[in-house]
Amino acid sequence: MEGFTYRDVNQEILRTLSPARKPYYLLVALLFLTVVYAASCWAYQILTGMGVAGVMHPVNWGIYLVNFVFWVGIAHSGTLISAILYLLRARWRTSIARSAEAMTVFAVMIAGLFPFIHLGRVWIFYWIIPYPNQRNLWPNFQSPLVFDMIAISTYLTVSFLFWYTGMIPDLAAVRDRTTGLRQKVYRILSLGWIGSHHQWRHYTGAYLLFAALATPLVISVHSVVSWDFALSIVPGWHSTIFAPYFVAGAIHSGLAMVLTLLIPLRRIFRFEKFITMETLESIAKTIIFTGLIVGYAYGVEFFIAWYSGNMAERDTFIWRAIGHYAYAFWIMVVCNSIVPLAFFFKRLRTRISSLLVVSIFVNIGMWYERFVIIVGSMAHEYNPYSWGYYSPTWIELSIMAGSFCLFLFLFFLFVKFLPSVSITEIKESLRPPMREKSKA
Amino acid sequence: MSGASKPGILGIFPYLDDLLRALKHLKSSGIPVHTVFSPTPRHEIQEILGLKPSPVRFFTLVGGTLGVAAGISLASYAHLQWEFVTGGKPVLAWIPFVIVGFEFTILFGVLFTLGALLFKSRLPKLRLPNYYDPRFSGDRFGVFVSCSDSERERTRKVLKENGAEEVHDVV
Amino acid sequence: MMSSEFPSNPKNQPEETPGGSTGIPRWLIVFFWVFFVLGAAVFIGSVGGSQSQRAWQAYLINFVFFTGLSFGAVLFVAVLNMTNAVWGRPLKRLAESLGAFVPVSFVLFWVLYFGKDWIFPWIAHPVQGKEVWLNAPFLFARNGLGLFVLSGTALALLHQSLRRGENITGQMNPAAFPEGPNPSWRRQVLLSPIFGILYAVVLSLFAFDLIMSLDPHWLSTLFGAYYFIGSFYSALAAILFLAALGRKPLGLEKFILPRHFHDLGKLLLGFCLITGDFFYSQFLVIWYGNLPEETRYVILRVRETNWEPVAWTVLILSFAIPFVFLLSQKIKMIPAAMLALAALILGGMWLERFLLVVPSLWKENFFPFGVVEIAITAGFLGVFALCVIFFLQKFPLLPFSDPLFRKAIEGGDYE
Repeated sequence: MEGFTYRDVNQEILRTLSPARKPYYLLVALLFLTVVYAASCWAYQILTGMGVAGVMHPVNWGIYLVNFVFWVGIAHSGTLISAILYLLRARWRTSIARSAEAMTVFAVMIAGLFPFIHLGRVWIFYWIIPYPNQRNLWPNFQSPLVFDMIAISTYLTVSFLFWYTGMIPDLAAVRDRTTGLRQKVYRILSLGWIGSHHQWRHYTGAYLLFAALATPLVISVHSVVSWDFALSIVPGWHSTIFAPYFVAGAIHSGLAMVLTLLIPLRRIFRFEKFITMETLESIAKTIIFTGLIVGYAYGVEFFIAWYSGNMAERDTFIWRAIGHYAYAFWIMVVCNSIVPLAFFFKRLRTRISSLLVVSIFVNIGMWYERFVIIVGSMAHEYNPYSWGYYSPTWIELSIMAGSFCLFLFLFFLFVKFLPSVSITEIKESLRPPMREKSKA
Repeated sequence: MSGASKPGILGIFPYLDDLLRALKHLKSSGIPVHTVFSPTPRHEIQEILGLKPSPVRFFTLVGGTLGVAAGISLASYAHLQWEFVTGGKPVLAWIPFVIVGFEFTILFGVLFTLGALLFKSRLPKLRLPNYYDPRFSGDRFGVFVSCSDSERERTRKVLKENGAEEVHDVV
Repeated sequence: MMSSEFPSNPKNQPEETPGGSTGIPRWLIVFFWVFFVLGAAVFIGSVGGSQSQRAWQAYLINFVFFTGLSFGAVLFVAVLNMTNAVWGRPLKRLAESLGAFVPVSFVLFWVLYFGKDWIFPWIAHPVQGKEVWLNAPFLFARNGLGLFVLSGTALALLHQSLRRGENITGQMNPAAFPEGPNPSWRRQVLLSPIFGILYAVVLSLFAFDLIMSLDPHWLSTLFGAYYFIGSFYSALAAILFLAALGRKPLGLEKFILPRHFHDLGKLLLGFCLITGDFFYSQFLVIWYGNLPEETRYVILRVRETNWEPVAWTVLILSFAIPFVFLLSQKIKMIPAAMLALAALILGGMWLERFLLVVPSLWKENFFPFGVVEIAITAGFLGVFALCVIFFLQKFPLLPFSDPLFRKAIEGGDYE
């Protein structure tokens, strides 16, 4: 980004907000239609009952929960990039932080839908909210599902506020360059920000605190989600390594999703100067790291399952590899821990095509990992009499497709109406305009 | 800060080092600076104006402490209503309540921080002050000195000498 | 151009590098030799007689503590290399000095063979179903091999880092920066991730074999990671300790500045939280599942009269106090305060290893902490310190051949 001035930054980023062309509207309409279709499938499920989904004894948690964990996982890398890398002062985060945070907010929203979708009696969901009521009904605060509810809603609130607060100065920049109705909207959204030194003083302090608070939150949220499983005594679930294993896996899948989204974004918006190869390479290197952690966890779990001498535990793990769902298991192992090793080769981590391909493989692999853990363990617990299988029905698959389309739909809206690269932070990373050039 | 219209002098600077020099001169001439505008935060500006780090973090501390107390009290209160022994676990068990307390700590911490930020920055504001120039969110720095008519000439001179691109009278 | 930015050399002549035989007082070296001899004597005296169990326990605790710490310090160097971090360069050589213990630990490992009957309960009472894994020959073979491979990689990494410094030992002037292509740097960058992977695998193996198997019916999948993260945490505290203690005597005040303590303090806080989080993950899952084969280990350590105070002490020293104090920016910048905090953390983590090992082995009523343990610990401390001192005396204290260190200097970081 040498030779870029502040004005260039404004222009380059704000031109993405100019009115779109036909293909964009077509795509958005298509996505929206799919979402409507999925919503009607959900309505059908509410009217008819959970039987239209494939869940039944013994597998009571099907792909709705797999998707829930998947989307929460995707959300985590956004906060990693914007909060944790901010604290570590990693330079490569600047151009991707805003999009990554947006990805987080949308992913958490979608993840939060799935507990509702897989509830049989959705209309009484509010019973889990801890407010004083005349039924004197309280949730059980020792239950990991209640931890989930608290953690996910906290995460949604915090990541939304973090994302929004970060955008306030940028929204002011947009406000100052638009007219008419658009300007009115951005004026309201930017809350009257003027960039005075008073405001900057409090802003920088607050932003650092947000980042410092969001960091432990990221780790705790996916640990809480992992404890949904680890706190039970189901073989294959009751394992102390679940919390860090899930957090690492979340970051793994999230970073892969960042690559999958940003590579096209970069091409379409011609953001190559901002989202440089250095940034993409750094993401790739981090993916190696998280892939190794996930691989380590697989190895340790297998070893300890054998070491425990527990028949059910040993059998579960053997069955995962050679049983009914073996295909899912091997997809998981290969895509998550072996394919990312390709990034050890510099050529493969600096080429767009290989970055995109590996990231898609990792996404698929991480989805299947949740499938193996959730469905695989429930299908094969202690009592052979109660072993069974599960297959998702068309309703479940439609809703899953709808969730992906909803995510893309929201992301598409985001990139057209809000600055997808942080104007202010890019300016901060440049040399400030100095009259005497040597001083900077 | 408050008040959307104030009389004074507004200087617009394209370069940061000019701005910093102007600020130093204003300070040494005893002219109080009302507001400095910049497209990005700059610690040099804060240093010259002699400002300490923002007090927002104290609000965060208060929020966090309130959060952990709120979380654990809520969970304890709820459990004491029915006193169920679920799963063989004690009615009030600190081990799982730590999680509830922790999440509330973060939530309240963030909310209080945001509140402090908005409160201290006097946001949201419906109308922009009349001494605001849209270029300040682009690539220009600005200094607004709120002064009476007698001071205007002196201020204008200091700003012009230090490389102000434009100097406006604001009424 | 470089000489003007380099901190000025007041005597204006190439003089001895800080370190060498200056800087480290002779009496300190003698002091540690005394520790070592004392420890060795008490150890050898105890293992024949009635205190055998205590001696071997103490040996094992110290072995896992110091070995983990030493490898953790080398991991710090590897992480600096992998992340291309510029901030930590002046600390690199100090961290490497802590890794000097590695070859000694390889030797000390084999001594454990002689105590295997006192250490591993499954030798006297083999565990059905686990004999193929838990038998003495296989255990020592695989751990010995792991230690060999890990030590080898660590030493290779250190060697590459020190290589280009050979001809400039004893000089601290700007001409010291070697010119030309730097293959040793590329090799360091290649070796660092290999070391990182081996660190995780081998130290997990140690944890499972040398600590977890002491209670052969107990298991925890996170235990290996808990051990190696805790070791890294201890290593960070040790680096901080050495930096705070040694910056004046070794003449490094101009290079190791308060902001390095701030950065290291932030890293320390992060790993305090991570180690605490790993501890809680295990604790919560075991408590919640309430399976007797898992809870027995934890209940023994947090409820039984002998061990409960130790558990609380560890919690307070290793987690609670550091967490509170490391939140403050001001405290992080004061080397003396950080020295005290680092010492506290090291003491707490040592006790933590004690708590992991001893309750599984010690069946008597009285609390096993006395002359035997203190002397053996002193012995290990002496050996460790002597390794560090030997390293610091032999090699230049700043990583001149490291291109990122050069970048830090030329970037005007040290004016």
